[in-house]
Order: sequence, then structure tokens, then C-alpha cells
Amino acid sequence: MSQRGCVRCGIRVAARNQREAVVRSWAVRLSGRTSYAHMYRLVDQLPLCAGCLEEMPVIGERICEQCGRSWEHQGQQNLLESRALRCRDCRSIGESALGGNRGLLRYDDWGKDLLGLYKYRGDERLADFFGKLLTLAIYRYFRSGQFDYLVAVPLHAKRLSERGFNQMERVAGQLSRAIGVPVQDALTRTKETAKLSQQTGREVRIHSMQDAFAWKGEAAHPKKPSRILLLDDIYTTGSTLRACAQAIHKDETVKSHIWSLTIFR
Amino acid sequence: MREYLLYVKVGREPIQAYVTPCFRVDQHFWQEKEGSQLYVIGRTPSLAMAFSLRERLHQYLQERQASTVNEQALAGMRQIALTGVRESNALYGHTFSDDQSGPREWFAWRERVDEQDGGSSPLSNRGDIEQVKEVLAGRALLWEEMERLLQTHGIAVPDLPQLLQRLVLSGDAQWLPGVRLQVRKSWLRHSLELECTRCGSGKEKIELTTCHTCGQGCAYCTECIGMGRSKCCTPFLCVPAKRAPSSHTGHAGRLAWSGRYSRDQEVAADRARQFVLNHWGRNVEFLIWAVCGAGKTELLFPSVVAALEQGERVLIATPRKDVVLELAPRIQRVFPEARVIAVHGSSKEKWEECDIAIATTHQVMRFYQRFFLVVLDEVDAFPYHQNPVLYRAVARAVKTGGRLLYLSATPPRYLQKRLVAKKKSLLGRSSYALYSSSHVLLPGRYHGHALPVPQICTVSGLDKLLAAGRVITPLHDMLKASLDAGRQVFVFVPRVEEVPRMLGYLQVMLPDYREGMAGVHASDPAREEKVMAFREKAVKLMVTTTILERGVTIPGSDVAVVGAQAPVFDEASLVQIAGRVGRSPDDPKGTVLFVQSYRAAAPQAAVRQITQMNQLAKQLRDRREMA
Repeated sequence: MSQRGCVRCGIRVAARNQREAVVRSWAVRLSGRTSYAHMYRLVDQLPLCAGCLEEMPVIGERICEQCGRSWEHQGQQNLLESRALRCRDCRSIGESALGGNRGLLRYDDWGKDLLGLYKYRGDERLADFFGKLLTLAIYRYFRSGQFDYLVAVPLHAKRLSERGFNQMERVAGQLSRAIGVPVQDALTRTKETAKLSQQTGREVRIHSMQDAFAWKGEAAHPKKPSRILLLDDIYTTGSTLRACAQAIHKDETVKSHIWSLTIFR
Repeated sequence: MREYLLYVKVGREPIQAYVTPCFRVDQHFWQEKEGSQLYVIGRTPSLAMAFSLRERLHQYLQERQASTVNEQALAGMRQIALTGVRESNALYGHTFSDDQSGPREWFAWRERVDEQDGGSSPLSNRGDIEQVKEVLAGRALLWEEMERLLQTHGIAVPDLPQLLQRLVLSGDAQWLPGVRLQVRKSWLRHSLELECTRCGSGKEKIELTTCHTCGQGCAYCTECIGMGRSKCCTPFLCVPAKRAPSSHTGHAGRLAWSGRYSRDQEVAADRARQFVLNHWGRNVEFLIWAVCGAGKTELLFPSVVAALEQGERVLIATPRKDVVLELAPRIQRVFPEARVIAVHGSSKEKWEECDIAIATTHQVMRFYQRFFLVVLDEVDAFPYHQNPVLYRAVARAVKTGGRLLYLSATPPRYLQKRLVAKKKSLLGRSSYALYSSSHVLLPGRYHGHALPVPQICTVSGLDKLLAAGRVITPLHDMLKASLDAGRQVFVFVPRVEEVPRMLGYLQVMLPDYREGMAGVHASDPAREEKVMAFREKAVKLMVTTTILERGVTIPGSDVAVVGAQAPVFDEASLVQIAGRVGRSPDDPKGTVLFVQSYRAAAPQAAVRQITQMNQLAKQLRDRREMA
């Protein structure tokens, strides 16, 4: 645990053996693709105390295979059709450039304040914490070497200058260092959209995101398709990530394989 | 992206260096003023860098002490600036080793720029300037906060930087970087000094970062991040309040209070008022030291009246939000004609104009030389104690020539040393003086009864006995006696984890009163309800951490501190805890028990302080009876 104590509640001295038990139980639950020992290390690194670690709202095993949404925390209708592989939203969207999405945590009170503190208040020290969460997530959901490079969802230049930093760029840097996959900084936001919280309705959101991004990445004729992992903080309707994927696909003749990974889903 | 230009002014006064975001305004201003010569040194997008270079130039100019410059001197100054930038670059890169991209230009610097920076001509009209000045007077704000404040007042100025620069030049405002940057030289190693201009925190609280706002090496303060980010490139504006709000002089000071002072209270309150009124005295600080239950808030009224009658503003700063919320309506009732506002993190009226502001300590950071009288309640409580940041903020909120009034039942040592005179008796024993020009001491409670003196009992192996569920006789007897007599009891424990443990222990120990027990700590979601239940006597025994040590008054209650040796219980805190007992005139007696597992200094010191206060109160009473 870091010098600063738990990032969520600030408790410095945690009951050590208690925390160890929690870490172990998480490591057992999350080590599917990677070894228990590796997962144990990843969980242990998180700067959280025993209590906060235990309450961490990690998405379970049963998820929509498209968007990574958890079945257990859905409305009734979705529960009824839980035999299906994809959730209703994903089915209504149909094919898109985005291969699929995975998220690590459910977006509830546990993480809301932390993300707000990082994004809006600008406590950049939290980049380290979110980077560690994403590292954990990538080992949980993907094989190592599955991606050629990482791309963080960009901010509009104006928003960037207001905020002073791109929250996902920082996290992507952390992740890249941890897993040894390079970050490519070739996606730009061309359209300024209103804040997520100020947009109402799924339709409005999807519409506003159309052509919001531009890709100035590699030459359009690569030998083989490249494998790209998009990174964002939260997947709500998925329109941001789909628009990003769309922008990447636009000029390519050999289409890349694009997946996305978010902290919250 | 804003750029800052550094120039020197040569005129009739000694040579001065200036930083400006819009050179045109400065050119215009100096031409108007005295026709001085301006020489540009260079420009940089980093505000902190510009100020650090200005500092260097000032030093250089002071050593040189010439009133004219030639080409050579100018070249010398440019060289100084360039060296400064290079040194900062190297040091910044060294400290911020996060990036592996090798050496890099952290701070851009351009010399000899074309002076036409294309900004609009400085034609802000006077009305705008006055309006902005009016709104910002007495505030210390970051750029974003200032924009928001102007917006809420419906003021839209197209060329705000230019307008503010005019205010800066005419000496009505100060424009500073949010985080200050300086190269400190030493024979061993140079280092980068960083300081938050708003809260004054040093290097250990400041994080370096690459910033997309200025595109330069940047740093932000993590200490005060809850109130917006203070960064190297964020301008921090301080505008002093020049004159009193003249609108309704006098009326605001009408006091509608029907309570009566005791003799001692009256004297103390009057001394405080004298301090506020005394224009010639050199004292700017005054301490009202009144024991728990002496009626401290009421003592303030005459001083507040004195300030209001002069048409001045008053600030009462207190550490906790619940106190702000409780105090504001009370003060409003007493001063019906004054505008009273409650200023805390989520309050709606925090930007309003006022006569009396009641603020949490952190909000005080947003004020700048605004109040004539600033009262600090409970200086010994958590946020102030040992926290130079908040002392600094409070001192900054006082107007030049204003007054600072501390209020405490247990002033910390450093305040005692500074403000309280000691007097020696014939036998050589020293005791506190009852008053001096910088303090007044009120050793007795308003109902005239002595403070209950705590009993200390040492139980070795206290933790083990508790864990084993063994009976601790003195504690058991005391609790049983109190509960049997129908009184309520606070049981203080040092740590949060011990609250449920202690509660369980007591429930086994005193099964008759099982139902009427509860435990509370700071992050308890049902905290308010539990305290309410305790006030309403639904709960007879409350196990608590130090959160209830002040502010809670329960008539007819007793106190036990279990684990009084723990470092969280220092002298001040124990005196406060003992002060919970016997506050109401109907029931001025009570029991206070400190149970410690080994002999510790703090409980003894607390008992000593309480007995001393009782003695002083007795002396005071005797003297009065003789007279």
C-alpha cells in the first residue's frame, strides 16, 4: 500500500491480515486467464484499505459478451432473457466497428466520487490508482500480447486546456508501462460535445457523437490488420467508443480489430 | 494560451520589473502616468516562471542601485533571465523524472519579441472597472473562481485580463501565480522551491505535472485541491477591500439580546471591546480564554457591535460546518439588522455581500483583507491546531489595521506564550494573569460554580482486561452510580475500532441498561440521529470517539474516558471533555473519570489546568467579596 493510505477513505493503518484475506479472495475470483500469484500481486498493489477493497464493485462472470455489462445488476426484463449472449441495447445497435467492450467495475457510489475527484477536481495522483485498476482488468479479460497498441479516448482541445490534462492519457501511460504495449496518440476530437451529464437521452447522445473523432494514425494500407485497444473511463451508451472505432476504420482498407476497455461499466 | 511578458520600467522611481499578460495596457498606463521607458526582457507562457524571473531581476536591480540602463545592463538582465530559465529547466527535468523522453524544454522563453502583440487597445471603460473592483473587493480567488463570481453577478467583460492588469498597475489588485516557483541555490545542490500562493503549502504537498493549459512544466497543490486546482499557470488574484461598505453605517450594530452577563463576563466582554476599539494600540491579536461553559459566544457581542458601528465587516471562523449552521441563525437573531451569511462548502450565499460572515476555516482562504474584525472560534480544535496554512489564511482575511480575536477554552501553548502574560506570586509560583493588553482570562463558569475536577485512575493491563471482559471496578462503579441516579454518561475511547468493542463490553457489564446504549464515530451514517437520541435522553450511555468532545451540551451528564493515556487525548482535548460536565446552572456538579493503563502526562496536565482555573476563579470571587 502506498504511503498516502487508502485513496478512497484515507485510512492509513489497515488491519494487515484482514486486508490479506480480502486480497486473496479477489485473486481467486479474478485469476481466470492469468495465474493466481500474478493476480494476487495486482490486487495487492491497489492503494485501498481492507474495507474499501472488499466493497469494490467488480463486475461478475456473467456479462453481455458485447458491451461487458453485468447480468446480475440489470432490470427485470433483461434478467428474463439472460440466456442471451448480448444485452438488449447491444442487439438494437447491431454491427459496429467496435468489436466489444469490457469494464472492470460497476459505476456506483463506490467509484463515483473517486472518478470525480480525478477528472473534475484534477487530483492527478489518482492516475496511478486507475492505471492499476486497468492493468488488473486487462489481465482479467484479455490474453497477453493480444493488442498491438493502446489508444486513449481524446478530449477536445478546448476541454483539454480547461482541464489541464487528459485523464485517460495519464492512465494509458501507466497501463502501457505495466504491460509493455505502446500507446498511440493519433486520435483527435474534432467536434466539441456537451458534457455527458448535460445530454439527455440515448438518441441525442448517439447523434452528437457522430463524426466527433478523426484518426491520423498509420498509413491506410498495412499488411495485416492491427489490433487496437481503446481506453476510456466509463462506458455508458458506448457511443463515444463506437465513434472512435468508426473513425479509425474510416480510411483503412484492411480493417483493424478494435476492442475497448473501460474502468467503469 | 496566455503569454506573460517581463519588462523593466525606467523612470523617476527606482527601476522596477513587471509581469504582464497584455503589454499594450502597460505601455498605455505608464505613458499616461509619467512617460517612463519600458524595456522588454522576454516572454514565457508560464506564469510561475515569469514571476520567478522577476524576483531574480529585483534582486539584481537592488544590488545594482542604478537609475538608468544602457544596452550593456539590459543584455546583463536578459542573461540573468536566460540563466534562470535554463536552471529551472534542468531542475524541473531532474525532479520530474517521470518522463523517459530525455532532456526537454520545460519552460519556453523568447527574448526580444515584437511588441505588437495584437491585443485590443486598452479601452476598458471606467464603469466596468469600478464594477469589477466592487465585486472582487476583499477576495483572493483563482482565475476560474473569479470568472464564475463575475458571471453570477452578471458582469460580462470582453477583455478581462486587460481590465485586471489595469487594476494591478494602479495598485488595487495583485496578480500572482497559483503556485510559486523558485530555484534555491546551495553549495551542494540547487533545488526547486515550490509554494502554493493560496494555502502556503510547501514542496511536499505540491505535485509536478505536464500541463495542457500552459504547455509548460507545471505544478499543482494537493493540499487545497478541494477548492479548485491552484497551479503554476493559474492566476491567483488578491483584491483588498479598500473602504467599508458605507450603505448603512451604524444600524447593523443594533443588538437585540435580552440575556444578562455575570459580573466577570461583563468585564471580559468589555476588555475585548476595548481591544477592538483601540486604534492606537499596537496589538492586532487578542485572546479570550474562557473555560468550558463560560458563555464564550455571548462575550463576543460587544466587540461585534463595536466593529459594526464603524461600518466594518466581521468574520467569525469556526472549524466545523455544523457549528456554522447552528451559529448563523443565532447571530442573525441577535443582530436583526445586520446581513448575516453562512459560508461553507455547499452554501448558496457564500458570494453574497454581508456585515457578518460565519465561515468554516477553509472558506476563509477565499477572503483577502476583507474584514476589520476576525474572530477565530476554538483555535485549539483540529483544523487550526499546528496548521500554519489556516493561520495564514485567517491572517490574510484581516484588513490592514484590523483586529484578530482568538476564542478558546484551551489555547495551545504557542498562543499562550505569545499572548498570555504570566505573573509570579511572592512564593515564586507562577500563574496566569487574569488580563493583559493581549488577552483576558475567564476562569469561572457563568453560573459561578467550580469546574468538576477529574479523577484519574490507573489500571494496568487495561486493554487485556477489556478484551477478556473482566470487571474494572472503578469504571463499573462510576457508570453504575451515574446511571442509577438517572444521569447520562459519555464514554470516550481513543479509536473508531474501539467503539463497538467498548459498547459490547459495557452491554455485558451493565445488563440493566443494555437498551439505552449507543456508539458513534465520525463516519457513522446514523451519527446525527444517535446524537439527537442522546440529547432527547432516549440513549443513556454514549460510547464515542473525540468527535463529541466539544459543542455538545447535555444537562446532567457524567464523563468517563477509557484509555486516557492514548496520544489522541492531549491536554486540551481532555480539558474539553471534562468541560462537558456540569454546564447547566440546575446541575453544576458531576463526575469525570479518566481511566489510563499507565501513568501519562496529559491527564495529569488536564487536572492541573482545571484546578488552576478553579483557584483563579475563587481568587476572583474572594477579591470581589472583599471589595
